Amino acid sequence: MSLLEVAGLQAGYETGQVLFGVDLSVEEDEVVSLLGRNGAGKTTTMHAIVGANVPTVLGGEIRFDGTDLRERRNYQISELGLSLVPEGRRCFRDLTVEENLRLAANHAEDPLSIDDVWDQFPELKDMHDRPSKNMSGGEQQMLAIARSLITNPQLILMDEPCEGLAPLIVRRIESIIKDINGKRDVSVLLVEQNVAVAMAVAERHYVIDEGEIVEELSTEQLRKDEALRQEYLGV
Amino acid sequence: MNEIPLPGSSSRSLSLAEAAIWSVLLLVTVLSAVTRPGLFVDQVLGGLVYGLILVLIALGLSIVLGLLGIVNFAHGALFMLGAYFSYQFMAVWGVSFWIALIAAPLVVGLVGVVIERGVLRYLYDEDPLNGLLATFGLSLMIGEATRAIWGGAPKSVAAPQILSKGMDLGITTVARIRLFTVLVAVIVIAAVYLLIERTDFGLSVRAGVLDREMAEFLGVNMNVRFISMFVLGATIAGLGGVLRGTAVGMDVAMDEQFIILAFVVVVVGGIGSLFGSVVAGLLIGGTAYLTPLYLSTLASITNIEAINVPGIGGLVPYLVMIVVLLVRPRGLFGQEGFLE
Repeated sequence: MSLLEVAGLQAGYETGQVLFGVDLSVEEDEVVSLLGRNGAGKTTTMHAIVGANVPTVLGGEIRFDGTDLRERRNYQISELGLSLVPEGRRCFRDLTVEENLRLAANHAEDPLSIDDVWDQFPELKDMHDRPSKNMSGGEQQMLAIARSLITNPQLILMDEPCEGLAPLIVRRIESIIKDINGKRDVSVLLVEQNVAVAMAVAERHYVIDEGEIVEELSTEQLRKDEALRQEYLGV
Repeated sequence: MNEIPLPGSSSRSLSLAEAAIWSVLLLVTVLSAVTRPGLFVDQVLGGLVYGLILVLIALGLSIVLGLLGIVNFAHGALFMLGAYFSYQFMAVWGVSFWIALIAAPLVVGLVGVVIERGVLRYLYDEDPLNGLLATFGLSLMIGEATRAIWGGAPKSVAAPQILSKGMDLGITTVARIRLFTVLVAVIVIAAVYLLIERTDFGLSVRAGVLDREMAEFLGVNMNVRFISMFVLGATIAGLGGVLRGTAVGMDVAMDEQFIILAFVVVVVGGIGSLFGSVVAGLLIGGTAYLTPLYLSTLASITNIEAINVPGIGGLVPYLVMIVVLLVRPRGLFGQEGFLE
């Protein structure tokens, strides 16, 4: 059984249905990407999985480690070992770096120690008492990832963690994702528009278009299939 | 956006006009204190007590507004209930003041639970106007219920002996119940501050104010915190009611009288800032009590009786609000961008 199993997922907003049967799965200790253009349904899929206020899930199954997530409230996903690094980072802007991390640790079943996090993110330790609103985009992204990691999850959902960041920072985020997976055996489902980032960190890739998964392929296949990248991803 | 400096902040130099205003204020303060020391101390203490009562109400308003996004018009009714419950405990049932001081606010907290579970929780994700209308309706209902149960005539309770005596300061005599009010209010405000700023519970509440859904994704059950904070705000307002009722008595108009001023305090202090509410409460209490004294001092030294405007004290809070909002629409310590 897969760690995360999504089958026939349909979801939408007041303005209309967006997902028309998404099927995907993530195994233990695996990095998987979900690729697609703007508006293809990537973030909607993420939000449906974690039970966000929007979208409304209309049908299908979402199972995590055997638990039916549709039966769970959004504040009950973290205790199952599922964590979200959301689009736009959503660090608590008036809270310091350390408070952001402490909040996450306080509500986790079996959190990492803050020292474990400092080891992984030495740059965050140096600014531990800075309000997160006074950090750069890259630093905030690291904090958002660290905030997920400290909950000691089995799976992290990351929604475009490299969006709007400078190439050097993007390399750093890539290596963090590889580390999280390599050293801590955390699975990652990565939503990306940036195919290069996805190919650098993930082993398996789903391509979503108009609310449906249209392809599932390995990094090697994705690299070779220029026509597919052109058609669905515009690169 | 242009950064608007705080009044009195050190980042800019004092202009000539400001220097003149501050020196006149200082001069009038000294003159008033010297010519009528007894009255001066009375007014300072009166302003402090009044301001702190406003802070006790404004704290709950500010918490509920920041956390739930609801303008809780019924908050003044909870304050009034605190006073009437203490009347019920002490005058009707003959319970001691000290028990009523604890019990009456707790019963107000229970009323808070009923209001939150019965009405407010259905309004969290609705248009703020719905919350305002619903709580305004609640305030009318509680007001009329109070009139029906305890009658429209003003009521008073007897403070225990140790608090009912005056304390002789030489220049004036101060009622001990007022000093007790200051003491209790300061303890409560400090406790709320520590709860919000220094505890894990407070951390999760602050996170919930900033981004409720993200806090929930991290495992925070926000609903539990909403109820707790609403009940805490209701209990504190009830406590304010007990103190006010014991010191000066109660009537059914105290609801509206105080809720409006508490809103002024929240707006002047800056929405979402508890610290701002404390500062604004003291500012408004202080100016409301000192302005009449200052004007009468000015009138007596200049011999211009027209300066001594009768009833100016009631107008001052609104003048303060107008000035603050003109200079700084977000309020003294409000979030950047709020109302701007």
